[in-house]
Amino acid sequence: MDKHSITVGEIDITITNPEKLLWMGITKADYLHYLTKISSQMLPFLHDKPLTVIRYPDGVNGEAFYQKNCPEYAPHFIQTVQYHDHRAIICSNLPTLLWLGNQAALEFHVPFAPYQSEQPSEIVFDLDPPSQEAFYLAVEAAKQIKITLDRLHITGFLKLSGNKGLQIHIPLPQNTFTYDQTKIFTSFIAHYLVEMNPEKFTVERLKKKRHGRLYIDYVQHASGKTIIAPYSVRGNQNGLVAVPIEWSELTDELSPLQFSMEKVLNRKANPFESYEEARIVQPFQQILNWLIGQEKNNRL
Amino acid sequence: MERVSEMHTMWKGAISFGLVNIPVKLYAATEDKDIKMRYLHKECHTPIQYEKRCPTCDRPLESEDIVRGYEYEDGKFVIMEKDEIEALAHEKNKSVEIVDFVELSDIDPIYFNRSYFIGPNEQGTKPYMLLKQAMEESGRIGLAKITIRSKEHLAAVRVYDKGLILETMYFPDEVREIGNVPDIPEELEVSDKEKKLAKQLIEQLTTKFDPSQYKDERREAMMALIESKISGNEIKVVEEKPKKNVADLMDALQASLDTSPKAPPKKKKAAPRKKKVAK
Repeated sequence: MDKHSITVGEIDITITNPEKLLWMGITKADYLHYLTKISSQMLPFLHDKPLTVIRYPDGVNGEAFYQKNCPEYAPHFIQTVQYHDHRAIICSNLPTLLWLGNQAALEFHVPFAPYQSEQPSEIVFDLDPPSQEAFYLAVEAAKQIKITLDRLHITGFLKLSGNKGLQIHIPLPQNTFTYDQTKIFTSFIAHYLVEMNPEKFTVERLKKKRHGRLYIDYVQHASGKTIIAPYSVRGNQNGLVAVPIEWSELTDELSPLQFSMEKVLNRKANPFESYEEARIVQPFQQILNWLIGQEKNNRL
Repeated sequence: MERVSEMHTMWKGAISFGLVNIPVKLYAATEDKDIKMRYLHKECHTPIQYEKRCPTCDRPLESEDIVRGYEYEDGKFVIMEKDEIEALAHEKNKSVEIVDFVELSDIDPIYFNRSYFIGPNEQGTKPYMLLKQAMEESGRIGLAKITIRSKEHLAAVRVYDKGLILETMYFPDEVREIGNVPDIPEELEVSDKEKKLAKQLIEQLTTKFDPSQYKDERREAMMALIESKISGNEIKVVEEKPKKNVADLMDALQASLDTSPKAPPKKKKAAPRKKKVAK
């Protein structure tokens, strides 16, 4: 077996088969190069989050599997925590990221709450159109949510899912709100969008009743559910990235296919740069109080 | 579906015995796990609303229109004002004075009502441990009186696991007489043989108490039925459209935020069509 070693600080990471093709024309060495370059932007979003990865040991055309549990053979520098019923990996540094990369972990999924808490530190609206051709519906929904968030003085952050949709992240103060509380908000926003555009959006959970409309999923925002981490690659043919983008990039020309790893590395700005800053100034408590008041009066 | 709920302080005050004073908080130690059903209008499946009405004045009432009255004679009331009730409760509200120490086995379980975990409040840790260890070593439990939500209770304070627990108890006059139950025989002759058989049976069924052995089977069956109905598409939904126009509510919500002094000013970079600020 072709073996190499990378040293980060004092830690040696063994790299096996760097020439192996993970995507068409993209080797494991290329992928590890991407992870190294992107780590400073990606790691903050993995911080303290129990990780679920999807591994593609034989590349995206081979079999893939989910991995929540830290394997027994993990080296000593891999940090783990007891989370629900398993031992989860916490990926908070470059060596861990590269070790996972060498394992052909391509997709990094994280829950909405850090491992120490059952309280979500962010809300994510997952705008997943019925097909790639219907991506314009996700664009439309994202535009409308943006207008709504602006009206409510809430700062949201936009990213491509790396597949066919868009996702809007809303950072919340840590350890402050419960999933029951965030649901009051997400449900309200979802119902508002549907009421404004009943022909385009739906909150219908049954696929056959959606009739080509975009499903606004506010149910998935719950304990134990996960979302693709910003800057994670996807295990699809094109090796697209779940890349953060600026709101100004949200135009009718936006394509879900445009951001490969290479393109992402050539981008200068990090559109999620003020994520932590936004977390503390959101007037979420006020909105929540108001919505709870409406609920009590049976107006919601 | 299960969620870890955080412990909610039910009561704050102090336990005292002799000259020792322990600032404490109480937390509910048990919870009822009923499956909550809502009542819906059969036709449209809207959750029904309860309205408080006065039949004499024939109009709906707000909470400020309502007072409490004690019916001392059929149809005759004395009005008890809220502050009068509170004033009575308030005096002793803050302290639990342990007056006696007794053996737990002296108390019949019929007296026990609800259980509260006792947690030490600020600076209470040391006297808390003192009381715990002293009770542990003497094997006694404390009897006290406590007022929770304007009702006075007798209470037992005892050691439980690594801390203390308080059980509210009924007062003797709240426990009914078994003598009032009809048809309980005084003394009836049973043969030794019958008694021996019954005792053998008890012997056979005797085991160590293991609470994890027992489950609420009716609740589990009900939950299973509910889940099968949800996945089987047999869901009753109040029409997809919410009751009131959500657009109006959004306007009202925005207005409340816009006028609120706490709302941070709209950040420019959050505006929709603005160019990149960051480099």
